[in-house]
Amino acid sequence: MASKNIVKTGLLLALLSAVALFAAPPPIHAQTSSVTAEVDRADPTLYDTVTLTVTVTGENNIGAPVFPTLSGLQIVGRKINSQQSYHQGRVTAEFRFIIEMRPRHTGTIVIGPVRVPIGGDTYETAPITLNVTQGVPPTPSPMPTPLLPPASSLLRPQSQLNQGDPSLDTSVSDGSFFIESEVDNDAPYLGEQITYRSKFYASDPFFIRPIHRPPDFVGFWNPDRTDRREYPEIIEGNGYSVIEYSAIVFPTIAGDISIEPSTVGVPGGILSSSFREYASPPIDLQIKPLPSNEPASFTGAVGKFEIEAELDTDSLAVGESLTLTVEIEGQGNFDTLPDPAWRDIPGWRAFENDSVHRSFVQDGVINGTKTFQRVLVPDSAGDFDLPPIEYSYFDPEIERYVTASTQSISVHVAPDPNAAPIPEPVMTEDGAPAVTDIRHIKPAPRGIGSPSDPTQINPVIWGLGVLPFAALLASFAWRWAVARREAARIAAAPIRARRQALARMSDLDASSSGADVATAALHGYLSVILGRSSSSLPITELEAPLRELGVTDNTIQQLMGALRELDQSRFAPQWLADEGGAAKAVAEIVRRMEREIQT
Amino acid sequence: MKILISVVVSFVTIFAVSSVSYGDELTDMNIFAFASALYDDGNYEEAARTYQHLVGLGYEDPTLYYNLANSYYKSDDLGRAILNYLRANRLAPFDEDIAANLEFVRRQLDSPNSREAATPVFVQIAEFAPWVTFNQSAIAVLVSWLVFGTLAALYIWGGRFRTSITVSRLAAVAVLCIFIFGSITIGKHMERLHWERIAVVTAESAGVYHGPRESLDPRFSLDAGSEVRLLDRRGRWSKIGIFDTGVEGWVESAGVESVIDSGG
Repeated sequence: MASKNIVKTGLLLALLSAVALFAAPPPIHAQTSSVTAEVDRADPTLYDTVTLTVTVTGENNIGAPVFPTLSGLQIVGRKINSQQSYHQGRVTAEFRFIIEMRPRHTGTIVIGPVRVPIGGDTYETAPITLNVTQGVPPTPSPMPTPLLPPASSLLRPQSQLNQGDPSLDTSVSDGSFFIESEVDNDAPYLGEQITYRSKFYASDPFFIRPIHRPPDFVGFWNPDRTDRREYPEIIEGNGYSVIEYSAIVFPTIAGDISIEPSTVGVPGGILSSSFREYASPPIDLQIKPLPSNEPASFTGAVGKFEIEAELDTDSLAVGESLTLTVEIEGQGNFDTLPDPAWRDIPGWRAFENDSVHRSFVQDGVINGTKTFQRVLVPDSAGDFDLPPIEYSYFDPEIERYVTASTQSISVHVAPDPNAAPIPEPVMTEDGAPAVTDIRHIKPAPRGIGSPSDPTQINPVIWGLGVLPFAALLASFAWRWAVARREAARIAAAPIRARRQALARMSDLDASSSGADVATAALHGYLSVILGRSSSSLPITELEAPLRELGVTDNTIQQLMGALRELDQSRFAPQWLADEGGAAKAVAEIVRRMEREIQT
Repeated sequence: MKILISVVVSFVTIFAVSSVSYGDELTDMNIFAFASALYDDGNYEEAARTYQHLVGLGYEDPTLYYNLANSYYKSDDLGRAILNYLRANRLAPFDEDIAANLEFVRRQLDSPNSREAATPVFVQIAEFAPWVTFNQSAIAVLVSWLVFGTLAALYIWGGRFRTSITVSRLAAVAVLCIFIFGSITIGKHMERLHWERIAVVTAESAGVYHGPRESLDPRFSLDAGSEVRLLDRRGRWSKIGIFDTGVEGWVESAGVESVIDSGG
């Protein structure tokens, strides 16, 4: 019994071990994602439009691309194309992000990498370099375009329009149309927000909407915060329809700089093919550089900001990490808002993780928040005070630098409960570490070890492992086949016996030999179903085993009556006078018994 | 007792047969001694080259890696020093000299390390049997399995084997061997995977980028000797993670080296 259990247990363990051994690591699916970026021309002129096409191909989780700062380029158009394809059971999506741009200056302009998150990874395109040349302006339109009419044609006095704003310039073509432009500050600091506004006045109603083209804002950061409004206005008793365009920009170059003209194209009318274009004069600005007395923690922010910091936990163990979240909130150019001046924290390792920002325009000023996250990992256990984080910025309103600061944050670092004991440096009496160098090399061993073998041995050897499985399976199969054959033989025995009994019934005649044959046939059948000789048993002893086999009392009584009749007929064969009826009676008893046993 | 002796003799034979000799070991031992002499003379760079030559011949020995790491450390190549201390530590996880020097250099670098990297249970099992290779333990499992299969077949066929005490005991020993060597084999396999995924920055400084492509500015840089988790390889780029931080990024593969080079 014990050996049987061992074998069973062994079989189970061996099967589990074999399954574990033959298990293979999951396959790594092939990556089919790709991101490419290209431009239609690498050597444009100032008057060309450059088309940047970013093609993203992937199977799932394609995120929105993050475009780099396109400094030196003015975006003039965007569009997105997408298509999906199904090939070999996979759905592949392709997105094409198309951006049309105009160079703002000559020289080299680098389009940085475009980042696209796909399925948890971030893909980057290669930087693209443009060599911008001056080029030749396009041929002017043959249509009559009375650009920049003389200032004497102003409809209203400049003082009325300027309202104290020295930068306002206006230009009017005739009494029906005129255009003017202004900035809210013509002497801003570098990086300070200014609002540009142009207004197009028309006394005649528009049959076809005028086409407005804003300046390129060369030398300014244009965060694409534009607004367009239409409203009526009465000037000196005359009614005008006004189309106002405004944009928030940030100067990126100090010194004297001009904002190019805004232009408005006015179609002649439904039945006219003429086209008139009106342009405002350029606006001259003087961008003031930032003062040179910047604090050490100044990294270039201009505006008004507040800073807050928090940790996701103030208690951790060595080997764990925490996330420091720093949020800067205020007014300024959040597209280009620089990081705080991160300082090393003694005893901690820091990793830049991510930064996100959002901004919105409120009362004509860009407000927003920018959140920086850093992962900090302690090197040792103890109580730490993470030092305050300073954020210095230049406030153009008060014209001086301001430093905002967070509070220091206390963190408790517990020892790593799972860490293996680290050999501590032995200290001398004066507290200096006694170990100042590595331990010396070791002498040559008696034999140099051989390379560790690869983790895949010969497939033939692995195949040998299948042999016991095959042998066991064959054994079980053979035993099963033998048992099945034996069971079939045993199951077929009563049928055979019944057939023999029935066959012998047909041999019955009126002689004693006929009674003998019937008796032998019946006993032959009974011996098969009882598994022992029935002829040696008294008739009364047949009753119990037959009942156990499921034969009913009625049939048993009939059987016993038949056996008695057969026994008597050997000496007085009158019972067999009706030979056919007797045979039928015996056959019927056999059939009934067979039926009752089977049910 | 006879059974136990037979089993031990069998496995010693298996291990002896499956062990392979590499190169001309006598000559190579002389090279080892020569490299050690160079080290003692203060010629550390030449010593490192000589030890590295032996590694190139296919030798894999904790002492060899330890001495090679020492030579790199003395040559101010801390990245390769850490890498080879880790390789030595993998082959001899309980060697105090290796652990001490590894920690000494780690303290000097103060860079990310794999000290806190969780070690799977099966890897810990494998560490207790450093003298057995994967192939040896796998062959032992197969032999035990064949023996057990034969005994099981004998039992199934019955006869006098069904009641034989010897058959029962042999079957029990075979099951025990399957269990022990099976665990070691799985441990060896997982240990290899574990160390394949630990890499060390060997370049002086490795820029970590958002994706497998060099952009203008890396997210951050890792100094030589920084231990990282190797997550993926794509072309000439490797995706790495800083242990226990969740910070991931891509570095050029030439700047990082795995403790076990999978050839990928």
